[in-house]
Amino acid sequence: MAVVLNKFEDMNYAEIAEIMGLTTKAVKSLLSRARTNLRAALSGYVYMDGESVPEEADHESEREEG
Amino acid sequence: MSQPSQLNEQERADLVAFLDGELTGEAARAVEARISLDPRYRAEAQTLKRTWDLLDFLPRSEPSPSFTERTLSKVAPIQKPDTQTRERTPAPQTQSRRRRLRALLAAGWAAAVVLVASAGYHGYHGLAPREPGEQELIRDLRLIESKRYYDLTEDIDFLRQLDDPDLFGEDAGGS
Repeated sequence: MAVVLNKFEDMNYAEIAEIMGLTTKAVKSLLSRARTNLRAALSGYVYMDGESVPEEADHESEREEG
Repeated sequence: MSQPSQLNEQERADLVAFLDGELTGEAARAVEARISLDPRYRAEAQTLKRTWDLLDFLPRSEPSPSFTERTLSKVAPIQKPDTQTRERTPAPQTQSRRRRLRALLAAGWAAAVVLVASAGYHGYHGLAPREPGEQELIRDLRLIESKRYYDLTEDIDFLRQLDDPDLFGEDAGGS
């Protein structure tokens, strides 16, 4: 829900916090975890446009999956 | 050069907040500095941003025409009962006063309509010239038949004198 509100409804953390009944800090943490999960789920598609994968990012991804 | 390091939860949260434009002041400057100095941090920022941008490719669904109506009908029961009652049901006194005012207003309108109609009817029949009825014509028949004679004289007393039997009666010539 936080992702939808932030990404598609262009709401900032304070607005999301008010709607979801959370603190701004909790929203920050929630969105951080959500984006990390998305990063893992979409890792195969992130660099599909032909751009080279940064070596550091590749290692980071491997570490997360491991 | 700084040594690349794995991000902990707080660092990642700060980086995400920075990408979302939620960091200001010193915190934002610290993240900016680290992005420029730490290749792994920079790569992480780039990957997170690209992942986020991928969501733009998701198909957007359009709400159905009845979406607003259905949503509002679901939200209405959630409202607090006392608030709902207060908002939707006026106090009995107010209700009674409103009803009385409405009745008075309706009666006023009805009276005004009747008054205007009555004034119109009487005004028309009282002021407008009208044709005489059959009864009136029959009653005044003799007068109408003799009108051409009456028109010759302007004095009704003179006509009455002419009508005197002593003047033109059967006995008048004989005497």
